[in-house]
Amino acid sequence: MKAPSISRRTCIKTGLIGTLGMAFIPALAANDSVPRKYQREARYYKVTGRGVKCTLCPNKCNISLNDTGDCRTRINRDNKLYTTAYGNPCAIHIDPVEKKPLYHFLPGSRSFSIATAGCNLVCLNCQNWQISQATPAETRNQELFPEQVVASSIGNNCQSIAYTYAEPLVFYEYTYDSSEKAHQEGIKNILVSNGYVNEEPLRKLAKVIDAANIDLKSFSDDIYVRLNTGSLEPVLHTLKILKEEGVWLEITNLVIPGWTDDMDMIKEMCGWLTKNGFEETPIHFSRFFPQYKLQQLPATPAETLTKARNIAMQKGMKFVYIGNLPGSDASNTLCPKCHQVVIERKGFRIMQNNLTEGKCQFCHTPVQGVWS
Amino acid sequence: MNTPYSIIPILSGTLLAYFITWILSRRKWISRNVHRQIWNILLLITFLFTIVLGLLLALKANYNLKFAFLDEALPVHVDFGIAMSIIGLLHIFWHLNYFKRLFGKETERKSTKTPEEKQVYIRKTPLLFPFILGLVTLTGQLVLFRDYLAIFGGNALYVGILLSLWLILTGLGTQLARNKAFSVTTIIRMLLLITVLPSVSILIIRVTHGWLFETGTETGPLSFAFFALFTLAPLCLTGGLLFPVLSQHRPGETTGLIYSWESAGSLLSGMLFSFVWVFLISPIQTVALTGIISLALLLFLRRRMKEIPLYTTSAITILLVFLFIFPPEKLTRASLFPGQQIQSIIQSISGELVITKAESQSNVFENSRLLYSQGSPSAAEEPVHYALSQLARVNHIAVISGALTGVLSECLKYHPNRIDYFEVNGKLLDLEKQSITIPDDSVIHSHRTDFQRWIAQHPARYDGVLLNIPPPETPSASRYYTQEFFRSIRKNLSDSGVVAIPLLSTANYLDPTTVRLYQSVVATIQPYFKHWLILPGNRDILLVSNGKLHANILTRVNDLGIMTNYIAYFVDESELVTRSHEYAEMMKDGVPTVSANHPIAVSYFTGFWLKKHGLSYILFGTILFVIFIFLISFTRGISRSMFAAGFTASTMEIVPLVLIQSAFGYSYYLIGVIFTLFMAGLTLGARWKIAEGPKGNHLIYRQHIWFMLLLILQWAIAGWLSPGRTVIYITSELLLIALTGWLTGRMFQLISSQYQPQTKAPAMVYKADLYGSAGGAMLVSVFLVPLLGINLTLIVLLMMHLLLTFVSKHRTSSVST
Ligand code: SF4
Repeated sequence: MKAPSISRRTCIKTGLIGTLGMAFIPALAANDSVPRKYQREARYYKVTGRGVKCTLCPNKCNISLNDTGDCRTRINRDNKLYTTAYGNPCAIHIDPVEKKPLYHFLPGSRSFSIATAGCNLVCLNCQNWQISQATPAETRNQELFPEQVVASSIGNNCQSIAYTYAEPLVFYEYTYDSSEKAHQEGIKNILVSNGYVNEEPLRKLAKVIDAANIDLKSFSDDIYVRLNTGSLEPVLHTLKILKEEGVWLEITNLVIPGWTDDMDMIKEMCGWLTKNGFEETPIHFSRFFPQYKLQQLPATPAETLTKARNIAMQKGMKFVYIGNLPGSDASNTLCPKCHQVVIERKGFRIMQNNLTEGKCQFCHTPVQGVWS
Repeated sequence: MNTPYSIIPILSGTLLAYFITWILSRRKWISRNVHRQIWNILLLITFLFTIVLGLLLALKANYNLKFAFLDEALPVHVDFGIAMSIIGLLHIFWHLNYFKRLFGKETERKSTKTPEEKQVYIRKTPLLFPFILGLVTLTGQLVLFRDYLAIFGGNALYVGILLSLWLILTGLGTQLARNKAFSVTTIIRMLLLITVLPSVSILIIRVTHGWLFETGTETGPLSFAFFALFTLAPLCLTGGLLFPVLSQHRPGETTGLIYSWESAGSLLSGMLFSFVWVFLISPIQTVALTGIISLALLLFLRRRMKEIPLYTTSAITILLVFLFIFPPEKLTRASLFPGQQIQSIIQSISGELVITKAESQSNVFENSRLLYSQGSPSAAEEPVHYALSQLARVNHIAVISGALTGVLSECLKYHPNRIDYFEVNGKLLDLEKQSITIPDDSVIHSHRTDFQRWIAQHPARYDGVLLNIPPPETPSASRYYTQEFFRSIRKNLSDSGVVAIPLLSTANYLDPTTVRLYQSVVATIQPYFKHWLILPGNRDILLVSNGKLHANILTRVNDLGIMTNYIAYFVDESELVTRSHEYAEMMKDGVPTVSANHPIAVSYFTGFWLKKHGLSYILFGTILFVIFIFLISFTRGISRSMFAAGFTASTMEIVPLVLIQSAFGYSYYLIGVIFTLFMAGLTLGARWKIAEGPKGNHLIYRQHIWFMLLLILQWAIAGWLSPGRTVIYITSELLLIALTGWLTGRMFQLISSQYQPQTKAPAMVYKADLYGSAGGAMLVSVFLVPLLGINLTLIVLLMMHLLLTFVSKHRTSSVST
């Protein structure tokens, strides 16, 4: 009996064609599947000989026809750049403002928090990787255009709207339009961001933003490259611009064991901050827990966070907090002069508020912040 | 690693490896041809990876492919390119004469044959040689696998990758022996080499891991496969090469005889490792001890074989004894735990437990993944208070694992009459007792047993059942998400009793794969419980009960007057209520339910995990399928029948393992028993006298029919006996495994006796067996069973065996590959 046989060449050929075919179909389909109603022409780009160049963030992506930028939210269609993240948030929650974290901005208030898919960095420890490393076409989205965002935040008794979770700067147009409309209705805007953005768009956005928490992920360019695929300098520039533009600013530094827990680096970072006039900018040293691809590390020890806090205070930072550490009293705000507790916090709750019109009730020293 | 590309490690590693094989060839431990073949294969592998990844990256750049794994592929592509360039340069040096001639500078051509190759001594080698080979390679396999999983945080996918790579590389090793004859001296040198290779490999794996991978990162399947490929290669290639070489040195005897001796060595090592060594000595000590035993056997044989070098053998023995007495376990583990002091390393049934200190904080890692860091109250508070605050009075609680988080102290706040604490991992239980996370309170009763087995024998009426279990990443972990489990729990729950089941950590968004996993778990509990509720947390928690469930946890905890550190201050009740409603809305679609015979949750979890690393389940399945086709295409003639036998045999080992784990939980001893029985069957089968009778082809067809009958029997056993009739069920499964081993051994004997030319039989048949087993191991454990369930998988396997039987051309000769 002559049994049928498969030649090795046929096997290999069929297999390869099969694999590549199956692999590419979904990938090629992904770009186009965001409905046009969630697309707007991008505000920062240039047409070049090879397509378009996005000028929103320091990645400066050159995007050829039908291609998207690194952040997965900007597509070149007919040599015009479009954002595909407009009015289609995938995460909508109402959070205490302390969760952002913002400790000197409307304490105890609630913030209507939204995010779309996409991010311009790839952090190994991203808590929201299912959003940040996806395209808006891949996530489950809701429809919420800027007017509806504002209406929802009013309906839910929120004093502010927070653009947060993934990276609000990559859904820039949506953030900007919603912020503009929010201001018209007396709602404040909060930007929770990695600060990885170019100067021109940032200055424009800063006009409609009231408060920002910027993630200063480390003070080393090398770590920025390896941990976040970004670089340090643009983030430092963002801090300076936000300050100049009068946006209330707080800084978060996640202390990751083995990555960002070098006390010399923290000392250098705090030295830079004080040298550049950020002494009164609150800084939050946040406790790390294993997330995304950074799974083989312990949580940050409390002592490490305390050491970082002490260094920051020695360097002249006036408001230094420890986050994500239940039971710690390092989340209280102390009067910079009399050192009395002016706001006592436990977790996201305000236990007592000893500020009157932004001044310490005990010694009447003004405490920096937006208190009402 | 501070640079994106590993130029220095690759350069130094490649040159060092080249230097080693060169020295070995100079010292005549291996022939120059083998040395060159090794580097030809490496050049081919690096070339193939470089072009495939390069092509994909080019397509990514041109067509904007959005696969995240391609981002990971760029450094891998460059690293392979670097390795390829270095190996390419080495090749240019080999052919320097050719280039000199090309450019007019003629030099005398040397003979490429070594004097030894010209003069081959076919002398019988002792049968203890294949025994040593089996002993060393299997211990090496078991220890290295555990070490890979301990370093990389193993899951079912990694086990599949490792097993397949091991078998494929060993198969490639057999290729190296093709058309070659080796002297007894060379064989002895290779045996000496193989006794130290497991020890060297384990040290290389641990040290290079620290150099190559970023601190604390979970490695994706792609990088893991590349790393395993290179670090397993020396041991597997040498092991694969030795088998046919040893067969050549038993002229006039069947390959089955060598196979049975090798299997006997494997059998002994499997038994020693599973039942003795794993509990008494460390991984480095285990491989060192196996090396010492093998060297002692060689020294014993020296009375008959003077070629065994006394001084070298003694020197290697002394080296291994030193390694056994002073195993550098902590030193070689240090790079995995940066900034921490390793307090202790404990080998337990579920893997390696490492306790570290960072500042004054204690941390416990299981297989490199954090189980617990001191001062993290959310891990304890959320499951306890979400569940127990639902009840007005709590009398009897069952807590399954997780005492380290402080879960028992939280339970005590409800003043129960009794808490039953279950931890199946004895070493972990001891640790929990030492660290006082099991409070010294008379209401707490700890049990070193499996919860499901316990309640089958000790019916109870629990008010709360708190599961602190891993997500369904393996069939054994998925058993807590099955119909069978919920049915048994339902019988042991009070009328309004609550069960808390941890799901995934999802932060602010549920992606579609996670939604499907949740839908499937919710669909599974619905026949047994009227109410369910998913509450977001550090890990989302599914509560199920026949009493009403509420999301206003904070109010309830306050009303009960219970003090908490986390819930009271970090949980926003209105958000909890809103999100639990949103979750409920998403659970409307019908999806398959999870059962012991169909652990679908594993495929959803694997999909979620693959997505994290930029791969999809479909893409992954396609890659496996293509590799499978490649493997088939590398076998020819009747050896393809051996491929079919190897394929079905490995699936017949894996299917019962999955079934037993899904039904009865992790059973370390059972894995040892399964393995031992298979190897015993194999040893017997390979020695069983084949009666004279029908022609060879018919005999082979008969074996195929037997294999298919075994698959049908497996289907019947899984359907009718699992898991209700435990004793008959497990006995039948074990019998089936022994029979499969026996049949495989017989098939090996049969095919190798008919294979022409006989000189090639050992290499070709052994290779086919290994490739078939690799194909089975890849497809079944991570793809077919979780996705299709046992019944459909067995039908697919039956079809595949039938197909493989048809594509097995029963020509006794083969085209050389
Ligand atoms: S915003 Fe996006 S597209 Fe624009 S430069 Fe940054 S990453 Fe590239």
